[in-house]
Amino acid sequence: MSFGLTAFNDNNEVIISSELKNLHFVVKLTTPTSSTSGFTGFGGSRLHTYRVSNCATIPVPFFHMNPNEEVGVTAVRNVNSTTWDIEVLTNNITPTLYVFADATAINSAENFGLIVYNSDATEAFDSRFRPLAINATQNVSPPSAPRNSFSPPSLDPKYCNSNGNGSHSSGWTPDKNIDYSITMPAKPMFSYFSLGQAELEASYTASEEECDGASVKGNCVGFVRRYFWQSNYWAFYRATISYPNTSTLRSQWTTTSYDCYWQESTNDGAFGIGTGGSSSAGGAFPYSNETINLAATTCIIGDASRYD
Amino acid sequence: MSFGFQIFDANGVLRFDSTDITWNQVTFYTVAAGGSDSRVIPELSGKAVAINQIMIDPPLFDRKAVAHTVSVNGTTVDISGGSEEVYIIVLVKG
Repeated sequence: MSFGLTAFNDNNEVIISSELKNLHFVVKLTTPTSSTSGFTGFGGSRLHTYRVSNCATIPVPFFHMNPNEEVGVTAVRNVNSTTWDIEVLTNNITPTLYVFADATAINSAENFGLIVYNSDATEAFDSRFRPLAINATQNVSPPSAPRNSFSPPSLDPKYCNSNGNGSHSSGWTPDKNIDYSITMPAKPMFSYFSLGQAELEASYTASEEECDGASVKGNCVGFVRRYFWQSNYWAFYRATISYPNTSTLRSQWTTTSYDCYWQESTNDGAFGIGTGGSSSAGGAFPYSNETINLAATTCIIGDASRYD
Repeated sequence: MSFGFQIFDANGVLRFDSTDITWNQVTFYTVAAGGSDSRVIPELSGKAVAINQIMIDPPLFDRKAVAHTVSVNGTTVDISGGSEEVYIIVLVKG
């Protein structure tokens, strides 16, 4: 190193370097800018969007929630050169966001402290903004499926009549977890970007026959109408994390949406000869019945109270 | 503290010191949906590396959104195979 500054911690790790960029506290957000309506069934779900303003570079969000509350950052979008939207999936709770970014994102008129510059004259470290300090790091994988066992309950095969009811909810509520033993501060905050996606679905069918004539040995002699119904109930999930206590980090799935897709078809006949039919359909269909993006991602844990 | 450094704010509150641990950001960039990226990042040498992949506009339920495959080999970071546009944030520690 021919110029600049490198500072090491007690573990001989570089914590300030004029060749890197420290992350610094930008803002604490307790209220989302917008939220979906949310629901309590299926384990609960609500999607929040937090808007970060006056941030000239990409924000790195941390979130704090109460024990057993489920959270994952599902998207970050650049609105304009200094504005970002952070999308957060929860099990119908409202977490607090602590947003960090490199020092080029923020400005201060304060004239006290230490600034370290990179070779391009941008700030690498600026003590006027609270630099990020972390407590632990854990590679986190989503469970292999949302549920330990998927045994769909009895639901109405006609017109998605059971969509969103208690049986649909209980049959699709995610219950499969992976726990990691880790030491956290009393008020932990987490940086975790959700990539895992999963969907579970089940199909139910029914059929009926109406005979206007006589039934001879089970066969209709005369005019007949045959009805067929099918309903496909589903729920869609994203990977999230929670912490049952400050010694356990949990990976699980949180429901993002649920719905049902139905079809109905009718065949008419007279004296054994088909005379036509009709069909109709409705509802929403999800992409596919599978679990993807199970590769481990990095979860960084810090002490939220340090930035309150 | 008998050795190391401490940095205080104007009110005498400790902001950062040599007992702290952190991840430092090296760079961030975007990789397009269906695209790939390979780059050498010399700052990764000898350090623990965390690559954060953040989807920009993933679907709620109506599209299959495959994450990019991320691999780190020495100081080379390869990103490929995903169906979504993503931000990549490269962090190092050590």
